[in-house]
This record gives sequence, structure tokens and C-alpha cells, in this order.
Amino acid sequence: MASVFEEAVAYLPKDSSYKLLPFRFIRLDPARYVAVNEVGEWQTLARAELDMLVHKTLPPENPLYLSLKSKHFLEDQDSDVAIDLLTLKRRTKQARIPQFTGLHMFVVTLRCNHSCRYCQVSRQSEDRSAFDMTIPMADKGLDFTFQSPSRAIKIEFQGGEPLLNFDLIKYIVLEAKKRNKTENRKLAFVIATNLSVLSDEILDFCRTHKVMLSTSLDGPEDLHNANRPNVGNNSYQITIDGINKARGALGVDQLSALMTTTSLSLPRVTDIIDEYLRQGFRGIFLRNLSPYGFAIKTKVFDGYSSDEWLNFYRTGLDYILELNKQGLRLTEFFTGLVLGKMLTPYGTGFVNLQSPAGLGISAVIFNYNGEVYPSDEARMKAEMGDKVFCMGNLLTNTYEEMMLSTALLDPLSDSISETVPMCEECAFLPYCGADPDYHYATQGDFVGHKALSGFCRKNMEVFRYIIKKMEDDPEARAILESWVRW
Amino acid sequence: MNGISRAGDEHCLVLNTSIYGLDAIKKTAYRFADKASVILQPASENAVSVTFNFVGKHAATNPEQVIGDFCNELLDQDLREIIKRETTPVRNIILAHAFSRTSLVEQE
Repeated sequence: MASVFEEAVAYLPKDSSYKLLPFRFIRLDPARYVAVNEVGEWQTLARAELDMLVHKTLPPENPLYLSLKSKHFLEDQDSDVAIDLLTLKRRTKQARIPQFTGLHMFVVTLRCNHSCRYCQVSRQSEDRSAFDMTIPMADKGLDFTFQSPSRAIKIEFQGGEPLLNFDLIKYIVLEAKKRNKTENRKLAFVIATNLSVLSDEILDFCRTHKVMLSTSLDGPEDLHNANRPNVGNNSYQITIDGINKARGALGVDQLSALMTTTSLSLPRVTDIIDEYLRQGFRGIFLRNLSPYGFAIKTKVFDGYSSDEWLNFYRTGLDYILELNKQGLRLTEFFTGLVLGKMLTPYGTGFVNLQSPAGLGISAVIFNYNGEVYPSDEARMKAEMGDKVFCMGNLLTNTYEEMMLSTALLDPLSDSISETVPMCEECAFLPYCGADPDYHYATQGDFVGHKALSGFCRKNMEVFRYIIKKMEDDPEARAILESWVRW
Repeated sequence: MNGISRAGDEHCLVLNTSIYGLDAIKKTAYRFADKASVILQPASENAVSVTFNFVGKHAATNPEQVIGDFCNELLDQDLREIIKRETTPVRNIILAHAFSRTSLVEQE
């Protein structure tokens, strides 16, 4: 029977010349390079293949040619849609910017009943009412919040321990809902709490007004108690009791947990993951310490290097993937965020994976004294005496003055990765972001020298590890693809 | 390694600028700031000398390995220059189109 179609070779371009489209490349491992295009699609290739691509000697019948063409690394006479598609995807990546500032954090008190090793704000004793936010400040904070152009607004209560000033939380929630009757935003609330003062009254309020809870769980009992001591009490047991109580009252999906890696955590990643599974969590964020506040003051930040954290992360990710292969469902959230940037045309709201940085664009924080900062880390730095990121004060400055302040705009304009030495040529630029807080804390300027940057080292190795997993382990690839959310 | 001279703690490499662009050499040197302080000086009309002073742990390890990595990175930078020359106009078109109907681009 005669074939309906011509042989495959008949569909190859008649003219074998092609044009390169924008891409960057970097070594993936000793045997391979990875090329990444303007919108994050990648292709691994050998050095010889990279040379052939760039010097226009890659033949159209080579399978690599078709792969590179389909991912918009090259354009030949057969196709003229690549630029339009790249444009659309690039624009989609940045679509969050006009919808800036979705997250507004209210530090309703600095008081706390814990003394965590890495706590990033100065702790005050429980009877220091001088460290509580006032109602006039909260009203000004809400004025600021509803001037955001974002259709979705999340209000997060931070501390100290915010539940020590629960009356103000109630006031803000009720007032925000009242204002939202005319604003019609998609409004959400979350309290970041150690759960130690959780009461039935608080849970009733949270259930009635759909307020979520976020807590800290650093691992098994001995590790959690060492990292997060509560003098005279078992901090771990208080947290576990609180988790169970909150889930019983609000539902399992209304409470999440975060962990922070200290030097004590480094050899315990599988124990930490097991603890999260034991407590019924289906995801974990393997979070490294930030060089701010008490973490610097108490030398905890100096407790480990980027490479030590990377070993912790790699061991943890391998373990999580193995658990998934055995049929358990558990996600590593940081990997999931990165995969979202790698596998979809969408950007992320995660502050440190954006260019320009997410400072002010993703979040602002209202300190207990009315001062406004573009990130939680910037507020922590202020508590240690450096107010370089202070945008102004709710009581004395307007929204425009604060959002157009040099304290916000300077680090934003300096941190656009496309203009930063080493970043502008880095293949991982579409996946990465900028962290002016980190570089100011470690190198004294918003940009930092990336060859000396722990932030850069950490992110690049995470990206390499994820791509290698995706390329070399088909079963892991299927699991990782299932973690993508948008 | 061929082409490297050594005087005390300093290692020197001479590069032909008709083969490697100065931008590529400078970008490579910038990338190696965590391993060595690198000084660039003209050596002749078509040559530049690259002097390495190793810092930190690299002073005690294998300097020639670092210089070998430097040479490999230089080849990568050279290739990046070719890609950049060819694709910069297209990248600019993509960005201009991407942001053409947003308030991020000022109207004339």
C-alpha cells in the first residue's frame, strides 16, 4: 500500500541555514552543558554539540536540532512563530509586577515567650506592652494595604508571638473584612504562631473568619527543643498539641509548618522529614538560615556554609524522592517553586526568586512601631539597628512617599538580574532572583559580587541538582513534575 | 601547564587578544574572584598578561588546576560573546514586544 506521507526527510528545511535565538549556557557537570533560553526552557548538550549549534553546523536531521527548534533556541526558514511565542512567555513571566504587593504583614507585637536560637527579631519579655502595635497604626496599615493594586490580598500576622496581642488581630481581621465589602479583593488571613497560647476562643475566631495558621516545626523533639527553647516548658510538645488542636478545630489544610535549618539540623535531614510525615504533613520547605538579626548576633548564621546546607538539601531531596517512589506523597516546597519557574511560563511570588527582587513588590511589613519595610528580613535588620530598608512610618508618611522611597527603589533598581555582572550571562537567570537583603548583610551592598555570594552558590547548585534529576532519572522527573503548582 | 610562568606565589598566563576578546578575558577574571586576585596588563600589541595571586584555600591547593579552569571558562566566555553578538537584537525585540502594552514602557 502506498504511504500517505512522504519520508521524514522530505519535511526537513530545504535550506539548512538557521538563526540563533537568545539563550545562555553553563556547565552542568564535567560531561554536559545546559543551555537555557529567554523564558527558562532548557536543553542539555555536550560541548561539541554546543559548538556545532553556535557555529551553525548542526544538521537539521539531527534530533538535537529538532529539540532546539521546538524549544526556540534556533529559528529556520520553516518557522516564524518563535519570536512571538517567546514574547508571550516573557510577558507572562513578568505579569505579577503590575499586581504588586499581595502580602501585607502586620507585626502586632514583638513580645514572645520563646527564645529561639536563630530568632531574627529582638525578643522582649511578655509584659512589655510598649512593643505592641496600636489601633491607629493598624488602621493606617489597612489604609496602605487597600491601596495596593493587587486583586488578591493576604494579611499575615507576625511577631514576636502575634497571639499575645490577639485583640488587635481580631480588630484588623474584622476591619479588613468591613472595608472589603466595597473593595472586593480576594482576602486571606494567616497567623504565624508558635501555637503556645492557642485557646478555644482563638480557634473559634479563626474558624469563623477563615484565618489560617502557620507554625514552626524544626524536627524531632530533641532538635526542636534545642532550636526553639521555651524556658521551663517542652516547646515541641506544645507545638504538637497545638497542631492537633488546630487541625481538630479548623481542618487539616488550615495549618502549615515551616522548618529552619541550624547547624544542629545538618546531620538530621531524614529525621526532620520523618517528623513531618509522622505529624501528617505532605510537604516540607528545607529552609536555610538567613544572615539577619539574632542569627548574626548569636553567631548561629556562621554555624554552616552554603555547601553544608547544599549537602543537607541534596540528601533531603533524595530521601523525599525515594519516599515518593515507594508510594508516599511528600513535596519539597523550594524545589516545587523552582520547578514552577523551570516548567511553566509563570513567575513566582517567592521574594528571592524574582528579578527585580520581590521587595515591596511581593510583600511589605508593618512593624509594631509603624515603620514599614519591604521584607521581613529588612525589618529584622532594623531591629539590629540598621534601618537602610525603612520605607517610612505609617503615622507620618503617605503610601506614595513610601512606595517611591529610595529605601525601596534603590535596592529594586540595583537588583535587576539582567543588569548584574555574572547574572546577566548566567544560564540560570530565568530561574533565579535577587536578594538585596542578603547581599547587603554579607557584602555591604545591594548587588554583591556573585563569585563570593553564598546566595548565588546555593541557588546555582540547587538548579543544577534539579536539572540533573530531571535529565537522569525518569521516575524522579515524573515526581518532580507533579510538584509544580501555578 | 604550557604557557604559564611562575615567580614566587604569582602565576602568569599570556593570552593572544586576536584570539580572545578583552571582554571575555575580563568577564572570566571577574568570575574567579573567589579563587584568585587577577591582574590584567598589556604584554604586547596583541597580547595581555594575566597574573594570578591565589587567595584562601586555593593558595594551598593546585594553582595550575585553577588556571586550567580559567582557560576553559575563557572558551565559554568566547562562545557567549558570539551568541550575544548574534542574538542581542532579537532579545531586544522580544523584550520590547513583551512590555509594549504595559505602563513599564513610557509613551513618546
